[in-house]
Amino acid sequence: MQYEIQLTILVLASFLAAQALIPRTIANHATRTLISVGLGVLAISATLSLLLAGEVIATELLQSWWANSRPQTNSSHSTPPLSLLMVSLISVIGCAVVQFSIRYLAGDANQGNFFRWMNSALGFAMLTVLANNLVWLLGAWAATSLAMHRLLLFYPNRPAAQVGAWGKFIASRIGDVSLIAAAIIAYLSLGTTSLDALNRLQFAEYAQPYSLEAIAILIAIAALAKSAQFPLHAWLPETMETPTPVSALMHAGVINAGGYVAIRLAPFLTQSPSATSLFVIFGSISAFVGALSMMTQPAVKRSLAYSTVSQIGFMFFQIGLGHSGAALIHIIGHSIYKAASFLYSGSVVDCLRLPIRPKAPAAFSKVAGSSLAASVLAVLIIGVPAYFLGNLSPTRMNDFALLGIMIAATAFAIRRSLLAGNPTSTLIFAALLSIGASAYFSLFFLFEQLLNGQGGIEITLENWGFLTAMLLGTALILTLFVIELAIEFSIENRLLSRLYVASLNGFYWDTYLMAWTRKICRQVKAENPERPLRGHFARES
Amino acid sequence: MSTLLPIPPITESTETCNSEKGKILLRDVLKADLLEVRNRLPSLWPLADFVAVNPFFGLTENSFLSAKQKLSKWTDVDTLMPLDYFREKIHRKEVSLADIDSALDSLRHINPEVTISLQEILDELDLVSLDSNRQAVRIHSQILAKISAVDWEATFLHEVTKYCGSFFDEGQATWKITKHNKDLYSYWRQLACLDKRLDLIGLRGFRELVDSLPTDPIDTIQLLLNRMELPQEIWGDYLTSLAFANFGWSTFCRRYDAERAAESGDTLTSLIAIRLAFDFATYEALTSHERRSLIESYQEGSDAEASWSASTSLQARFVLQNALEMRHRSQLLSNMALVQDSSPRSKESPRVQMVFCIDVRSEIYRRHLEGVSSEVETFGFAGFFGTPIKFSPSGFDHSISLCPVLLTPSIESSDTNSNHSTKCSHHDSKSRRKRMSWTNWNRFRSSAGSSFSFVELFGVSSITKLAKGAFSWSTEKTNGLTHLARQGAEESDIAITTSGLSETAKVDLAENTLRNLGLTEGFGELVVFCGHESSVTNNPYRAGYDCGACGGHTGAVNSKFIVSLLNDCTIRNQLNSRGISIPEKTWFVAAVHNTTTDEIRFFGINRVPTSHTALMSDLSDWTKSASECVRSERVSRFGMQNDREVIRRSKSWSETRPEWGLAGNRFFIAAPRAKTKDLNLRGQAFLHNYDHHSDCNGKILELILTAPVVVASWINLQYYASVVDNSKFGSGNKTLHNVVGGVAVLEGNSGDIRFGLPWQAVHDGEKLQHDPFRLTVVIEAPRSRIESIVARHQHVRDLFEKGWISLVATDKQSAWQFVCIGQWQELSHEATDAKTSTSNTSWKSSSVMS
Repeated sequence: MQYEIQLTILVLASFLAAQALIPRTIANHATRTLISVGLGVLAISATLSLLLAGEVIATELLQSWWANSRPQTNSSHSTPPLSLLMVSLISVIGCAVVQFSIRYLAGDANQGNFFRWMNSALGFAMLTVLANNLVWLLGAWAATSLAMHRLLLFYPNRPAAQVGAWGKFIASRIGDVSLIAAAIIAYLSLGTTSLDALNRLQFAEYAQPYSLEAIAILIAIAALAKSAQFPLHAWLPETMETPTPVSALMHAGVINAGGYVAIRLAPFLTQSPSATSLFVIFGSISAFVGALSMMTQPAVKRSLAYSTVSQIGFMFFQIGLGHSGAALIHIIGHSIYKAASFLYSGSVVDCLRLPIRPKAPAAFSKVAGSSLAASVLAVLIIGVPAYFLGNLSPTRMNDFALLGIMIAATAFAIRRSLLAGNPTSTLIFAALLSIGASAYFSLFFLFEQLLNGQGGIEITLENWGFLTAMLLGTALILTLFVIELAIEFSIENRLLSRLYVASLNGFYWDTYLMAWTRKICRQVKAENPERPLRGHFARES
Repeated sequence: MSTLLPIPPITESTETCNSEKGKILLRDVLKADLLEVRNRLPSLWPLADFVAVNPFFGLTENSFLSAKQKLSKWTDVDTLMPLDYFREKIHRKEVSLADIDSALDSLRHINPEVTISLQEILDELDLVSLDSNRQAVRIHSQILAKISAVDWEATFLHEVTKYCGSFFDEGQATWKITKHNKDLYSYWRQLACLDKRLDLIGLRGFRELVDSLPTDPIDTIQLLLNRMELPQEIWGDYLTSLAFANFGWSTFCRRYDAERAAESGDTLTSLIAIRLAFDFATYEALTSHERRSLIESYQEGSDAEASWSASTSLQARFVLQNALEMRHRSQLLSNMALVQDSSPRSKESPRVQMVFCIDVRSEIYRRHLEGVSSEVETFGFAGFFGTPIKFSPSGFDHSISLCPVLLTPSIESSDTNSNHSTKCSHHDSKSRRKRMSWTNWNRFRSSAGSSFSFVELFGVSSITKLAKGAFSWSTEKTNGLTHLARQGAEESDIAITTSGLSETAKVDLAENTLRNLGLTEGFGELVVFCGHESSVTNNPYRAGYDCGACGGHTGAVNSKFIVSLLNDCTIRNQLNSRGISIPEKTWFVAAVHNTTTDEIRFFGINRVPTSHTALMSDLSDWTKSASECVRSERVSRFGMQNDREVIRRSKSWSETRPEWGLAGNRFFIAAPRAKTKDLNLRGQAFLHNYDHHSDCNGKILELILTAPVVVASWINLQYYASVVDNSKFGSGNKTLHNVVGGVAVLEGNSGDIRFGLPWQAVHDGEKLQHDPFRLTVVIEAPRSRIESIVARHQHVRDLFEKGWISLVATDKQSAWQFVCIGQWQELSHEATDAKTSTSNTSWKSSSVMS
């Protein structure tokens, strides 16, 4: 039965993906059909994959959990529950995005074509997460990226749309090239490109695992490049020249593929100190750069885009630390959160003009007192479930970094709530945090078991490279809290002003991006004469 | 060519101006120029208070035709529809050759600018239009953009949006450099000298340039203009071109200055100084030959201006535009003439009177409500009902103005739970704390460090938001000011309280409203004041659908307030002594008309006296059936299956066309309702009650002509311009909208903030939902009275005389069109002509909409 269901999901995904082959004019005449087919298929695949994933998790993991032993990697499942979870995530996001686009793009003469590429991008994204070898992964992933390219250029006559789309094109092709290289090396040296085979490899069994290291590094580069990580992130905020649902799909679905691949290959990748160091370094830089830029952007979609950069960065940081379970929760939470944020970006006006600060600034003693109280509370709220439910221990350095960030965040939030002087809301807030933390750490434990992670790199002095990377990365992310404090107390000096201006500019990486894309764009433009404009924006040009 | 030569910073020694006195003189000239720039610009209101604005606001002293020429000095913009539009209208037989001929005939008599012949118009129509889209050179960055690989125009727009966006931000960004005691210019100057972006793109030395600029924006403008050696006579036009280069922000600054000039200095001048600094930087990169070309282009322009005559293409389109408008005007007048004889107002006063806003959407509702019950009489009056309220929901630092933007609110009010009015301050601080905890939650979500943990702990809970959206469950759950104002107004037990309003002032308000409404006698048993509001979901242009007369907000607060005055015994007694006797059996009720779902909600039903409850329940039945009729009329306009979809559109999270707003507006009729009763005006007319017999001194007419007519002209021209040139005067494609600073929208990544209406607000994907016709104001009053009022108000006079909107006076037999003071053109012949040729049914069938 499981096999049949897996096959059905695969067929459904291919069916969606194949819609890329429908010619444009036919697609535009069959808008309604494309919508119904898309929604129907997505709903079915969401249900099927969720049920199947649930069954697998329930039957095997929970049993072994009670038995208090780790499950064995079972080869009877050709599709791991991780992939099933991702398929259901993509399907759910896809349903919301497609449903949104029905009314949002109503009246656009090209709407059918929009759904054609939307369905096909979703189909290829599902095929990407269903892949069980590097070649399949490579093909499906590149196809997803090309379908997204068409969606990003939905209004091809907008010059700014070209910058974002071609910027993404460059980053994706860098990713493709390194993935191809990884696949070739894997085939030549190991004779296999199967993902599960890679995961079963033990670095320790090799005297000099150079080829393994090379494969791991190349895959890590591909994952980082395709998930808009620093320094290839600058195109992401430039992709708002396309209808909002495309941005939602991009930020909630497609951009996570790199993270998914890293999680999928975590047992393999986390054995390599270089790959994990790459994840930790570039992840934490992206988290830092993205978070600061997010805070300064006055335009809602730009701000959300930088937020994506930072969230994905943080997720890579977690993978680097060896906590792919946490990373998986992060992907799921971020996808859903970001999809909702984009689709509701039109409501931002309704939420403004709130009173920002209490009328009088608080006295120093009050600030100090509340900070202390908040810290104690935060350690309790996060630490207790982390220790008992999540099986995390503060003595392990990797866990410590992860917990420290979460405790700091919680402490900040509670402190602000205490200062606002509303005990009821502080209580509710603390309760919410406890519930959230308990759910989080239970899920964390479950996913860690499910992914059968190796727990990441052992922190020893021999691994000094990774150790330095981890310490620096953690410090970088914790710096964000220091900056936040400075902002809250309205400290202004030249250094902060400089940082502010740099963040406002996204640390200037868009200027390089523009220079590069201009070079590519000009050639491509000549090959691709602008299509005749149709629909109701023809007048605008 | 992407890297330019380093820009030398400015040193005092290179100052060209020699004498101190000359400097001061020049400064005065410059100030006058800057004032002129300001006066040429319209205003743009922030999204939360979005109201329609006449984009040609500063140009109304020019004739409609020559405004195009004026505008083209500063920017590329069109003021008339393309010939294709008129070709299609002719093809569809919506306008005939005879119409064009007669339009041409009458235009030739009154407008010396029209010199075209009928044959030339026909030739134009036959030609394939080859509009030479020559991009004129107006500022230096445009010259540089042409010869360089970098699109400097776009780059500078990005810079302007970056700094203006963060300066005017109302709370979107979490991190802001506080702008305490700083104006826009010094804010920019402080940050731009740290900003490497332009250096990296190729303007090397820009930071040093910024650093060397004076601290005062006017000094900067003067210095840079001198350095660029621009002749003084082109300063005004050059600076206007700079302002038009970022039209959205310039218009936003203009409004911002008008509201709070004292607090934050002169933001428009700051913006011009900033834009000038960019232009100066590109000027430095040009060769002396290239620099010359700018000055030449302006001088060329001013030579052409002296001997200007409208091109044939422009004239042809102008005549065709007039022909279309005249055709529809004469149809309206002939239909009104038909009604006039038939139904005199019945002596007996009706049992229920309902006062609606003049909004064109009210027309549809009033028509159907009158059709449902003959016992209801309806009135049209500006939807704030004469009460300019400044409303502060409890617990907020901000307040909103519930009145037309032409007025300053004089009544301070708040929402308080009437049962706990003594605990007012307690209530206030409690709701403040509640809001504060929301702010904290938002900070947890959007701060740099904690956003990661937020996503991990609570990210998945957003699935409920997605489900809510996809299944259109209730989505109204925000804590913003505008939303709370709405909520406070909706709950019926929340009363509107005012502070510091004397008894006499209250009586004055009540008296003025009733007198201006023309309701001083013959009160029914129930008199309903019905404001209006919209209910849309996830739409930044929400305020645009709300009541424009209430400053883009709900009209519920105003209607509740006026009703509370009129139900007050002491006020009624005082009114009695002033000659308005409201019978004891009359009870006033507040209501609000939801224009998206076309439902009517009454407030304070439990306070209605028991003697009136039967009538009240009848009334609510009537409004229910009227609502159904209105919705079914809407179904045909939308091309929908059934009227459930009307409700669905209001709740849908992805709806770009929840309703049609004021699209289709083209008439303003100030006359007794009897003159328009039983006419299907199809939501195209603003209806204002006016009976010239009870207005001997013309005070009420003066008010109508200077306030509601002006507001209607703003709305009409906003719609007109958004259709005619959506790229400049409209806000483009709604699916790309990107809210910036909570105050405006960008289209896409960056660029300028957008002015006007989105294309989706005027076009349904297949055809225009708003045909761009200029407003025709029809007033039933003696011509001499109208003329004397128009003569007194220059702005109104310009609107009518220069052809921005047109004015028709009607009496029992004839209709006259106003040409200029002392000249009227009789339309009665035309009207009767139309009467014989088109019957009442053809008014419906010769539909322009369908």
